[in-house]
Amino acid sequence: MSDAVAPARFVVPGVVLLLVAGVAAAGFWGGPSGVLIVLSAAALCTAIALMWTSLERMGEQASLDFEDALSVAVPSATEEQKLAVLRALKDLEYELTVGKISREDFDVASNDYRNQARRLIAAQDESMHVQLAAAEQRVLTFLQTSGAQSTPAEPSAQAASKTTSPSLAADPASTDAAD
Amino acid sequence: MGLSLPAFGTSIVFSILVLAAYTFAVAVAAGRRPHLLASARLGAYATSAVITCGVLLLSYGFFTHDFRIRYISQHSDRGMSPWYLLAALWGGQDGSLLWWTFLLSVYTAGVTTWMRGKYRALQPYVIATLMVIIGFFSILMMFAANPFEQNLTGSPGSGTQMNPLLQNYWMMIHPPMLYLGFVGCSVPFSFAIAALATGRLGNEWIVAVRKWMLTAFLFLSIGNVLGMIWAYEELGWGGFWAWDPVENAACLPWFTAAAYVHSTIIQERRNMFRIWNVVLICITFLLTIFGTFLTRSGLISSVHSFAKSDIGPFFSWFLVFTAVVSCALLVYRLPLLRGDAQLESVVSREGMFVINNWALLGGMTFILGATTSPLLTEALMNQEVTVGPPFYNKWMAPIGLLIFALMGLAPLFGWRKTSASSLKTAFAFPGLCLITVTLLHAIFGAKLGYPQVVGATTVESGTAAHIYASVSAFFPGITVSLSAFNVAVVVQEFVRGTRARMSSTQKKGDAEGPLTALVRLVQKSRRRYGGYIVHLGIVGMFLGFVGTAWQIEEEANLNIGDTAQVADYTLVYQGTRMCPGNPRCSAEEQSDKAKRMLFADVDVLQDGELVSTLHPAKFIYQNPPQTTTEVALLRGLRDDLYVVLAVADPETKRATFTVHVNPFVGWIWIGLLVLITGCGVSLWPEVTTKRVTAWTYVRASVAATAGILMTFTLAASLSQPFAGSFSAAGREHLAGHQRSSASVEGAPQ
Repeated sequence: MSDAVAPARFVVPGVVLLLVAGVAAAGFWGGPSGVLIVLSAAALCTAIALMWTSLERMGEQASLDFEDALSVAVPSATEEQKLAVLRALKDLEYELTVGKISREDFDVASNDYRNQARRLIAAQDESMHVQLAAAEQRVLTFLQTSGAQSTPAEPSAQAASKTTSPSLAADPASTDAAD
Repeated sequence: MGLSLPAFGTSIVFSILVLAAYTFAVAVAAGRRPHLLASARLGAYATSAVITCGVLLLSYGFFTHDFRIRYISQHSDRGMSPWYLLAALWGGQDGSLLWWTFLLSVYTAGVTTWMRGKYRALQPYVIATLMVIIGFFSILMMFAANPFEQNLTGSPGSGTQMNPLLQNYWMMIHPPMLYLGFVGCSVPFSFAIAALATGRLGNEWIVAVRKWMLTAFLFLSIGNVLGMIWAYEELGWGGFWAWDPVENAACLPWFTAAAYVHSTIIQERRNMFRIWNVVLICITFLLTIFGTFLTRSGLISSVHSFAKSDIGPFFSWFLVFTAVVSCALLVYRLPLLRGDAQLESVVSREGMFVINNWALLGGMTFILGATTSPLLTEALMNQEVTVGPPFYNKWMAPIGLLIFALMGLAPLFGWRKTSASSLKTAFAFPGLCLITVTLLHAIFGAKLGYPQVVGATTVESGTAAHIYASVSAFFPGITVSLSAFNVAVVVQEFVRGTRARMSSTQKKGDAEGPLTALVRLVQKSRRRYGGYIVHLGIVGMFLGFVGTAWQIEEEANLNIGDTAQVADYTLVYQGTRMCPGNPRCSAEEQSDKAKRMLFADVDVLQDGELVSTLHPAKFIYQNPPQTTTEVALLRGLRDDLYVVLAVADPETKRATFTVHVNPFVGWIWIGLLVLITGCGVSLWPEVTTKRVTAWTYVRASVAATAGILMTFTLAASLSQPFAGSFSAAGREHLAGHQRSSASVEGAPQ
């Protein structure tokens, strides 16, 4: 933990404790109206502090972390369909166990869903290959332009492609890879 | 000279718009420059904080009786209890708009916190949409309904009390609950707009919206039923729903929210109905705005509506703006919304859901049309038309029964298609229950006072009208039979699920007992089984609604000592007393200086035994000068005895009473409690293991305490009507309670 972060951790609990003490004191001496005016002042101060921080943050060029980058990625239509089919399979199994559908209906529907799932997974794998190749190419280009690697080398490029960098995942072009 | 509270409050209202506009701009920019998202989130919190400041300032004004502020002088005086001072915050037009904005700010802060680390691409547009809605309400307050507006004639010495009809316990919680439902629909709408704006129209936003819509649905249900309780207790006409335009406006979004809660399951399971779901969410939000507009514009006259005001045009423009933007985005994104999956068979779960959706939407459309038709007829043809309860009852009864039947049918069907043999198995037990209850009702119903067929008359001429009247005579019997069918379906679902779980755990060598299996089954599929519990709650409500078919209403004109027999209740009139002043008045009644109260004391006997003494009354308020009728109630699970003092002669003490026996009304309130439980089960969050700090424990314990307190308050307040239903002693207690509750100045129940 850095020195700058340590005191900041106690600011919010400290302010909350101060507010609780202020409200208790105002309630004791001023009754409900005292509590309301203290809370109102606290809300206004909070608004000002938040606004100030918001304006300060506008200038910052914070980079996305890996989780954020993943959440930006658009799930592909294939992925969505695959999830829907897998969910439907799960439901189908549940309905068979509770006797809502017959074994014959289950077999027909289950086969259909499994075929669909296979087709979607295959399509996804195929699209993944294309995206993976594009990602590898980008890593190579990045390493070359940044001077980290003078000549293209297959193994290192593959290694780099496996440890996806946040900036790559955040790139809309690589969204399927991020999925 | 320092800044006065009215001027400071007004500047706070202005700053809401400034902050909302800033946050909107930053949020939209964050759509393309992700690093701005943190600023937008902070802006959303700041906007929420400044709105909170405004609400607290207005509350402070009420508590310090700052009559310089017009709204405070018009809705409170020095004699009002603190609880009613708080309720006055939303008791009038201007304050309720600030309250609306405040609740929206609470949702905004909540959803902003909830989205942390999730839905990064949708976040900017969700925040921007919420800011547009907040901005609209701040404009409304700035230019048409400023709650901090100063009295032009200076500060009056005293204010005007809140309307006595609103000085009721249920008015303390009914409006906030209804507003929470209305405002809650803004969050799914914001997600829908964000999904349309970004083109991310897969399941991501549907999953995000799921719980928010269910929350809005829950609060809409609570708000509407609490409104029924208020009307039942306070308006004194013996019923709970009069198809008043404002009541209709409040229930419109409930229909579409209920439709969405079902159709979203199809999108998740089958990747179908993408367009339909977006449309439902947009319609639900538009209906909340339309409902607010109808209540506040003064266009319609209703006991619930606010005075005529200038805010109508603002709402009209906002309604048009929202509809146009939603439609434009929808059309723009139509290619992305079209799905591949098709409805394979109507004899399937999704088929039933489609019919259920159409029935719910049909009900909503009918109510909307009937509510607005008098306005349209007057505007377009300059003719006054009145659409009364008989018209609504005539058409809504079959629609309601269709929805009720579909509610029971849908769970019996499997996804995609269901074979005849499966259907036979699924229908066996519920069908048997339906037939048994139908037969029992036919045999014993009339003897017990609840006949299966209730003769319906019609004033309309024509064969069709007479045929319909004959058919509608069977509606009470059909409702009871369908109630049994629905309960049987839910019981069957739980039993089947528990058995399946017991069998599967046994195969795995980790056998579970029935209770453990049931609990774990619900834990594993909370949404499914929470939904079934909600269905049980709806059954309770339908039983309450059908009770009106067997309602008994009689008028009794009595001298002191006279008796009247209504159903199996014997009423003995004991005389009147005016409080304060009469020695028989309680200390609390003697000390009430805000009004004069004329009580009539009536002993109630059943089988010759005294079960309670009721005190129907007339209250005469001085400020504002108004007389109210205070109902006396003897509640029970079978029926409610509802006594109204119509007239009392102070000289001869002769009094006229209107007495109602209302069967099964209590089941509406029980149904609501069950519905809340079901929604609670569905909404209960997933438990995940995570590394936490001490501060997280503090936050979690505060949240848990607040949640438990709120649950207890709500459960206690809703179950309060049944406090004395089970014993004579309890009834005595209830009668005393009713008596004290009749006092406006008394503490809330």
